[in-house]
Amino acid sequence: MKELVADRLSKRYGNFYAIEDFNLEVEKGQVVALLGPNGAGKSTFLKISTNIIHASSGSVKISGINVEDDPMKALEKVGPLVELPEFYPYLNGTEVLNFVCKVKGAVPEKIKDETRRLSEMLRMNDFMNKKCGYYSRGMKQRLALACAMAMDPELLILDEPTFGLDPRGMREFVEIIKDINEKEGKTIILSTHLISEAREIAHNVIILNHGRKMLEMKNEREMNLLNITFETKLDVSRLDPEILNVIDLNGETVTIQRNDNLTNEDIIEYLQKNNMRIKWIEPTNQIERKYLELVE
Amino acid sequence: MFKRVSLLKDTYIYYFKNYYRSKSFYLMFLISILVSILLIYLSFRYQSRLANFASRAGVKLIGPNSTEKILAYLWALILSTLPVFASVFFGSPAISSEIESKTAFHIFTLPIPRSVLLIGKYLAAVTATTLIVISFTIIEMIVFQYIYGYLIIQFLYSFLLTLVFVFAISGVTFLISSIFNKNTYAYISVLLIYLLIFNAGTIIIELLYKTTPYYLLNEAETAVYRVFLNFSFGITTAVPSSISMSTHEMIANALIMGLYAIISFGITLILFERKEVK
Repeated sequence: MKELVADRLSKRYGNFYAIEDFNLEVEKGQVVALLGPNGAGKSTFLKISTNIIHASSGSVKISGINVEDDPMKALEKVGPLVELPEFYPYLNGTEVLNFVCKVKGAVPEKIKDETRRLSEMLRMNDFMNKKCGYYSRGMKQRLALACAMAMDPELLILDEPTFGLDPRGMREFVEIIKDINEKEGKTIILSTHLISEAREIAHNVIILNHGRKMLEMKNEREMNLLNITFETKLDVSRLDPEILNVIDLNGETVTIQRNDNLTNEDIIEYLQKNNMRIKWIEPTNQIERKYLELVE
Repeated sequence: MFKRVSLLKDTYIYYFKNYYRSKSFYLMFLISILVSILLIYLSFRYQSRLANFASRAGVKLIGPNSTEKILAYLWALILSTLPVFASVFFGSPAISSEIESKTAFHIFTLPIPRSVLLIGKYLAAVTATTLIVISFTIIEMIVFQYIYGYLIIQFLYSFLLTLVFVFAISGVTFLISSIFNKNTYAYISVLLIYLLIFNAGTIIIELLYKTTPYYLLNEAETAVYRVFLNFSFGITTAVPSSISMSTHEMIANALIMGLYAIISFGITLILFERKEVK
């Protein structure tokens, strides 16, 4: 079953489309990154998916339930972190997290355990009893992620989760997100304008611009793409597509998708056997190239 | 149904904690105490001369407990304005602040119906305002008990009418707050609408049609003090009298305030359901 399906989704403000005719299908356990510049429509899509704004046309279904028709049910198993939420200034972190656990259906005995688990996991013990009005940006970000992760959601929707964090905070956040996906199998949809983040975390990358989906591609990490630069221009027909699938050719440089079973050494050996002299071999950065082509 | 009631209880407690710990609450509480001190001074210093003041104002004292009623009238005049200022503090930013301070990103994405969020917050604001009103009323009762040794029945009517007024004025301020996305606009609009536009409406209607617009909230609210002394400050309709307003009038005013509460809250609910955070 699909975790999230967006069908011909549009959001219009007057004559301006924040997002237009957007389609997306996210499988269970996938990490999908929405990549695009400011105003591309990433946040608009995530806000519609989390009931913060309403679609002008089209729909978003989470676990088969239309968010607009039954937001309470659709969002029951969703952990959202949209922009950087603020919290009520006179409540402390524990009270906020307890409330979130309660509304997500926790029984009273479970609330304390869940709050403790999340505080330890996100290293928030030091400030959980402090009023939110005194929180720094990083503290708020952690509390927001804790709220999103409370009560074991099946789908995490994260809007620029590392925005505004220092490099150390960003690194920690990326590790946490990767862990959640790899160890707990959570489905994650996140928006970012950092290509490196999308490459590191996501299985699928979607490039958006001016409210439209420009490209949906598997992460190159998954695709095993390599750039091989030869000493002379190559006749690509000499390559066996079963071993090296040519994706792109640019002068002496060939972008290939290698077979999952092959190591870089196997490829070098294969090329040398066929008298193809290699100058350079490296994992490629297709997302960046495509991004720059599509987003001007 | 049970789940909704349980959610409402949790939401109410969540918001109420945030209200009663806020600076606005303590500021409002302080204002109420300061006004009470002034009224205590007035009560002890001048209570023996109240009858003279009344006759100079043209009020003919008839019936029992007339001097008690004059003093209670003065206390109730302040009592009726306390909910207005408390609502400005608690109600004006109630919805606009969710957008302006971005708490909506936290609260709107939770699996709670927006109607439950709004009702919970409204009841929390009403409770915070009621606490201010109760603190003032308790001081008033202590003063009267000390001076006269008993309380007149109109105290109860005045207090109950104030509670109805708290619901009404909170409903109106929530409605105004739901229109704006900025707290400043909401604050200014509430003050302008209640203190200026409603009063201007009363004056214009009285001048043009020679009648008191009893259907305006600021007029209905006068029941809080007219239960003691049915003295109206209207331009053309001033009727100085030490006879309390009739039960019929009291019920009518309570109903008008109740209608304001229900209608304004109903419209707020519709606007809040459609509210978006861009």
